[in-house]
Amino acid sequence: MTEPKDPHAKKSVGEMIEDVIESKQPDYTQSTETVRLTPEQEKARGRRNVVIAWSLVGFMVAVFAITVVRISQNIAAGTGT
Amino acid sequence: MTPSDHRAEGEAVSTASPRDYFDLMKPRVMTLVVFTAFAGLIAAPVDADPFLAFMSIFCLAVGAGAAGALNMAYDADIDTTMQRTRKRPIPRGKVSIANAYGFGVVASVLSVLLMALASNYLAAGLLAFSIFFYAVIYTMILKRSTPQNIVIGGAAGAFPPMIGWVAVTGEISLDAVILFMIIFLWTPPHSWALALYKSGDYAAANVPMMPVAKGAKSTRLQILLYSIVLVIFAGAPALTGLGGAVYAATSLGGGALFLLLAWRVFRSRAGEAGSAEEGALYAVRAGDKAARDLFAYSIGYLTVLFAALIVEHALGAYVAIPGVG
Repeated sequence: MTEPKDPHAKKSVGEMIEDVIESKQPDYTQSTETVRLTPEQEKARGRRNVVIAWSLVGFMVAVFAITVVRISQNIAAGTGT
Repeated sequence: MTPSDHRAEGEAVSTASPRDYFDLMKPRVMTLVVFTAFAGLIAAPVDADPFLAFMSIFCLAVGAGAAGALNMAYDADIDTTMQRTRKRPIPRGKVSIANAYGFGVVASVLSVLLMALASNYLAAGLLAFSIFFYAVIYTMILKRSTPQNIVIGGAAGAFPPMIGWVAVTGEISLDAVILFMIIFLWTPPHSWALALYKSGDYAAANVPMMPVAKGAKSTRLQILLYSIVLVIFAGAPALTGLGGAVYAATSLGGGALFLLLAWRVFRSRAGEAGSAEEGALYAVRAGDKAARDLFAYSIGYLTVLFAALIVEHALGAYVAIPGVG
């Protein structure tokens, strides 16, 4: 059986770090937004976010694919990379 | 800050959907841009990598759409006044002017950068210039200041086939300039035919389109003159060898019908009533039907001309005209 911890006992460094982290953890059960949106606004914002995300992914894939094709062409032509 | 303040801030948050941003890019114009650019790319005497060619066309479409968004942002005030443009995303309150500018600038930069990577710096430079020409030279300077607005500004819409050509060849040749000139000469009769039966719309918005600034009669004469020059010039590809027998036949037949419709507009009283017709793009009063017919046909004419080039070069239907090329 373990004895209850003395709240006045000296804490270790690890415990102090944990205390600091815990004290700054936001409460995720509550909304952090200060502006109240209508369901329609929230839905529209969500759709825009998804399209922006996919556009960024598409842009990165396009840059990567073009670069690969270009390098392959240069190698095939014997002009190096 | 009180809860009512929060609600007031919340009301300023957009309900714009991705579809509204897509509409900012003028999808119908983008379709024509893609089509003519594809024709230029296909007609070029080079075997291009299909993926890079596709990416070049994609960049052109995004660049054209970005220019359309910048145009809508700047013209938001007159779009609200005009019947024809009242349902665009900004007048409907879906997208703010600032967001439209932001979207247009970002899409412009990304399309030009990607074009430089996918093709060459000349094509990317031409794309950047055409966006600048449409958004700044045409929209911000010419459109509200001179009846020659679409004559000069039409150059912006003429760039796509040239850019498609340059994207795969890396150079501006005579044939690329001919493709540019065909659309450049096509723009005045096409736009003025629309302006004739929507002149009241333009007058209400204080846009000095030719029928508003110089009158319907002068516009009808200029439509006829430009149509004659266009139809003659549209035969040029058949003389340089860019177009074969299919193109020559299309150009002759299509051109003859174009001239007939332009003559009908010249002889009509289209644009005389002066008030805007309520309703759809093609809705007109009885007196304006000739102008409406020419406007509708002009789109088909340009489409068929470039389709003939695509058929000849992509599908192997090219039959050389004896003594040409």
